[in-house]
Amino acid sequence: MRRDAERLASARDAVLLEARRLAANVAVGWHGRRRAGPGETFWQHRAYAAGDPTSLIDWRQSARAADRLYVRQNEWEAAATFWAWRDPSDRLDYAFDPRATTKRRRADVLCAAAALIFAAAGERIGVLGPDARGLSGRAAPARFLEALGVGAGSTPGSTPKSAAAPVPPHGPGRLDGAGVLIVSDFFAGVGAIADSARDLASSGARGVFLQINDPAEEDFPFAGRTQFHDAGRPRPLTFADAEGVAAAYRRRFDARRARVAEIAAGLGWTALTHRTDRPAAPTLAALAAALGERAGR
Amino acid sequence: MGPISFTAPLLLAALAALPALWLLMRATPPPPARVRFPGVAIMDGLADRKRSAARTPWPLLVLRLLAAALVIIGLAGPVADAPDAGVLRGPLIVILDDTWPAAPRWRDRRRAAERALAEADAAGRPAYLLTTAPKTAAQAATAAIGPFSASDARERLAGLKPTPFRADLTQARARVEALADDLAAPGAADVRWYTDGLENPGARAFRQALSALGPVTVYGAGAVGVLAVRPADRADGAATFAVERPDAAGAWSGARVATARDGRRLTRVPAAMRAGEDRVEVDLGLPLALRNAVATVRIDGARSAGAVRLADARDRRPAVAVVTTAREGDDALLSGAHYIRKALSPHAAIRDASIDAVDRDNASVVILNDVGRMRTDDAVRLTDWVEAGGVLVRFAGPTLAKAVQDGADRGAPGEDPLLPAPLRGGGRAFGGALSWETPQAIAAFSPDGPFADLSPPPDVRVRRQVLAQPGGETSAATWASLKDGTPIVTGVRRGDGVVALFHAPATPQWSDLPLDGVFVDMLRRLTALSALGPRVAEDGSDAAFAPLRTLDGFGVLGAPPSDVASITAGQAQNAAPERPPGFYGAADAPIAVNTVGADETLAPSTFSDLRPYGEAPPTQFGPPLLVAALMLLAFDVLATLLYGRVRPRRRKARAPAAAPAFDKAAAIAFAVLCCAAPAEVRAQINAPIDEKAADAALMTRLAFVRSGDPQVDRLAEAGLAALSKTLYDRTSLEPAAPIGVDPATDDLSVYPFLYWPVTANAPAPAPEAIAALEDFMRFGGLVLFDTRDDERAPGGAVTPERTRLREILTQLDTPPLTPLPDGHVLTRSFYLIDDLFGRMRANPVWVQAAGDANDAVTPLIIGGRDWAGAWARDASGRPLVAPGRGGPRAREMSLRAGVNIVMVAFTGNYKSDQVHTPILLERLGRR
Repeated sequence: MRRDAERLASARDAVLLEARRLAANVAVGWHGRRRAGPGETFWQHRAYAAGDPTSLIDWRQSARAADRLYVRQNEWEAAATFWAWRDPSDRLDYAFDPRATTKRRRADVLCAAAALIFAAAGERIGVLGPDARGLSGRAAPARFLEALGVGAGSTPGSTPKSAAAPVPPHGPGRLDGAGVLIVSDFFAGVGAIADSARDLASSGARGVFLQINDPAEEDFPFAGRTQFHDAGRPRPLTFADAEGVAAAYRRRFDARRARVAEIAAGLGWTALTHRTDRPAAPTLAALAAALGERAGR
Repeated sequence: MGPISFTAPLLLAALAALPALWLLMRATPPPPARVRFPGVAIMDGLADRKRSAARTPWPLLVLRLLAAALVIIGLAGPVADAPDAGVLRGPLIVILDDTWPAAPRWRDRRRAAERALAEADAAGRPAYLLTTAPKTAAQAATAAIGPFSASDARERLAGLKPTPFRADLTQARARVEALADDLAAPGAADVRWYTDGLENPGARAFRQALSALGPVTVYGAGAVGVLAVRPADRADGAATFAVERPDAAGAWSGARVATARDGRRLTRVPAAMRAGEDRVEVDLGLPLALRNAVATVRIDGARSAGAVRLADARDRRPAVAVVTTAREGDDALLSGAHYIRKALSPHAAIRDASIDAVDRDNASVVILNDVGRMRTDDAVRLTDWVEAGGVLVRFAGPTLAKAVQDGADRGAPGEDPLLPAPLRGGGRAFGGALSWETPQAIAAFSPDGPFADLSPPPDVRVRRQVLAQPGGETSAATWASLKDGTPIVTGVRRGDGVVALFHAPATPQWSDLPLDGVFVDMLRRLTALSALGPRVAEDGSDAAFAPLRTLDGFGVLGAPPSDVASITAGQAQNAAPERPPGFYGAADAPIAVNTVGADETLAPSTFSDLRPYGEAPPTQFGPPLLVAALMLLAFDVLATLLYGRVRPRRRKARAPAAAPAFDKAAAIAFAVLCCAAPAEVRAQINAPIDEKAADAALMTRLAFVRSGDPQVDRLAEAGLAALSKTLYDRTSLEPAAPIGVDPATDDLSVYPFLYWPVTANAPAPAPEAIAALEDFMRFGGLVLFDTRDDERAPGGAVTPERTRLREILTQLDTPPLTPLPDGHVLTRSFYLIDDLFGRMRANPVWVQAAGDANDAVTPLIIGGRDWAGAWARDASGRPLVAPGRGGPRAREMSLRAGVNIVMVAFTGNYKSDQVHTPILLERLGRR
């Protein structure tokens, strides 16, 4: 248990480190929004109003004033301005070349890097999901990764199965002006993702679809008698001559990519693609640019 | 190797089907490469361009075709040097010498005959099977010789076994002649005679009779390996046997084995013959006590009845009964029996007997030492016994002289059948003060007597003797005489036996004879005269002896066949079909009938056209070919698996068009794998031995358990090093440098002693460590747990180390513990000390409570006295840790305690032996 936990933590640290390095290269120059924040604690005092529970009264603060009672109020529930969702399915835990980066890892790094950029700009970051919360402060990136489930997918049985599509946080008004990053390979569940994205867009968010793919998925380098299988699929597919289906596959692949772009265009969002054998920085820059248009509004 | 033919050539036609097989197998696809590919999610319903399979790679195809071809050829039964069937059409007549000389190479003979019968079987010729060993009338009447079908004859042949007889060609010839009359076309038969290689009487005539049947082929391997054992001429009575062989070519070396009647192996004596020798005599050299127990003497490893000699009563040592008068003194040197015993004991079994029991005592020789008067019935019995073949040796003396005198006085002068010659009363003395005559020397031995070949001893003087009545009878009976012509030894044959009389006693009082070597020779000559063995049966009676165990042709003793009748003693001389060699009669004194008779000659066959048995059988190639095909198919399975496994990664590294190159690479990889696999398997059989354990096994070492705290470990190592040095200096134990171990990973079985310094912060031992430690203690190891906290724990207060130790011990299967009792073996295994001193001494040391577990040796010692600290010294010999109370003396005492502890680890409870108690008490009292 503890070993697992340590491994998980070290995976997170590695992702965070990589994301930091990436973000450091990208963030400089274009955002330019350094804010002297009010501190690390996000709370305020306001005057006591009828109906507030007495347990909320900050007696120490109230004692300073002669005749006022202050209520200690947590600004915890304030709207986050960067939301990320990364496809939790096992499909992402894949790299054709075992030594290469898996899709999941690259997706995590990109999400984290984007989150870091926004966190550095003093904005809140969060992960879309059933219990989505905006995070801020120094520990925010780490908690962001935790919420993202980094490393969790690599331990069997701990994969979150529920989230097939991003679930928006409660309340439609909260996402006004928020940036949403949706990362997946879009091999399955495009419809569900599109529905969610529509909800998000209707509550005011703008976002980016990032389609992340392994080079093998794009190039289809197989030939000869080949049996294809994948986790979560009951029956493998066997082709006598894999080379013969390559063209058809590529056509389907391109069609799928076009559909994602179409959905994005319909929502006024941006669709980006990324191959795991390519460097992440340009993609991150494009990502930041696409989200930053809106962020810098 | 000759031409190759096929037993089923039609099967070869199947080779023509191979091309069809080629087409068929091309179509069989190799297993698909299994690839994980998330893109499969969008691949549902994609159309496969061609449904038909990819080609089977050519190496696999060749492999399979080769295997198929091998199977076909193998089933077709290729044979080299196959016999040319159908040369002869007539019946096959097999004549087999089923005799004991044939036994050593029986398998060759039978195989050769079998081969002939197999040929006849293949050709469908009838066969006759005839054996030449002598048969009883009943056997001869029932024995069928044919015609049989060849396969039937083969079955009969398989049931044949060599008999323990020589071939009786006269009897066989009669049957051959009878056969010639039966045969439809005499002269057309194929006659094959498988001889035993020895010259048998009537061989020429027999062959003549055979040639009347048809062309005769005589097989024989000479007489190689035929060995016979016969007793050597045993004039001296020694157990000597001769090994004889008919074929003197080549050297032979082997061994003789003597076996007792109860099956014990008594001795094994090597024997050897050089080329050209055909006989060697070997003395078994048995201790005398065992010589009578010999039942069989055989040549080691020779499987033949002739190589076995059965010993019966006649082959055994004479049994001598000595009867002495009651008046013999206690002084052995004045007792005649003493001299007789000394003279005969190397050569005969001697026992004392009373005169009324000698004939029932299985004695072959009775010696009456100065026995005078006998009761009449004793005399009659003794006379009967002598006439049955016994040898009666009498020594004269005062008693006999007096008895003769008394008889003469009564007017019945010595007509005693138990005396060789009538005696005169009284005795004669020479050289006395009142005698003119001087002591006489022995002048001569009678040429007619048993002593003829002895030479008279020059220095023997006879001072007194009993005289015989002079006369012709006495002169004839004189076997040895003195210078003056008077007899000193007389003897006569009575019936089958002998009566002999020494005219002087067996003591040196009357003569020097008992002191001389010739006395021994004379007595041995006399005992050799005996025709009697124990319970001898050569009395001409018709007493029948039932067969007890009989020999078969291979020389194995077994239960007698049911058709063997009882024999009489007279028939025991030679074997015959109705009395096969073996033991007959009572189990404790059986009569032996031997295979090789005394007058039997062993000579190699004189036929010059003998053909050897060992014609090479046809070589069959079928089975190896089938095995090769099987192996190819196994390779095929392996290679097929390999193809599926290797492909995808390769495919990525290369362009998709590189398929043929890949096939080659896979074939090479497959070949390499095949070659490498056996080496790998071998490596796994010899599991590697941990280097550390091997090192510790070669040199005795004290060991300590690493605590993880470097300071503690250093101190433990230094302490054990100092203790090792002390042991080296003071005891015979010479340990090498101590070593730190981890019970979880190291093999503890090579260490006898383990020092475990318990630290408060050491990690809890792993379950494997606990198990290893339990094994260590169960199989004789000694663990010394040291919490090193005595000065911090007055009165047994709980310290962190103690808590930790308790945690360890609750996991361990420990015996019940007790504080070190007084007088425990730990306090006296080397030094006598009062306690197990350490650097401190506040709390008791705990050991296993008294009990039977582990031989009452404690497998663990628990204390907090920091022994390592007390022992440890630096390189220059200075103590590393300040001593507790007591100074250098305390340090010395703790070293002594350490020596004692290690001694217990090595010697166990040896020193708790009560043997040392008196010394311990004495020393304790002195202190």
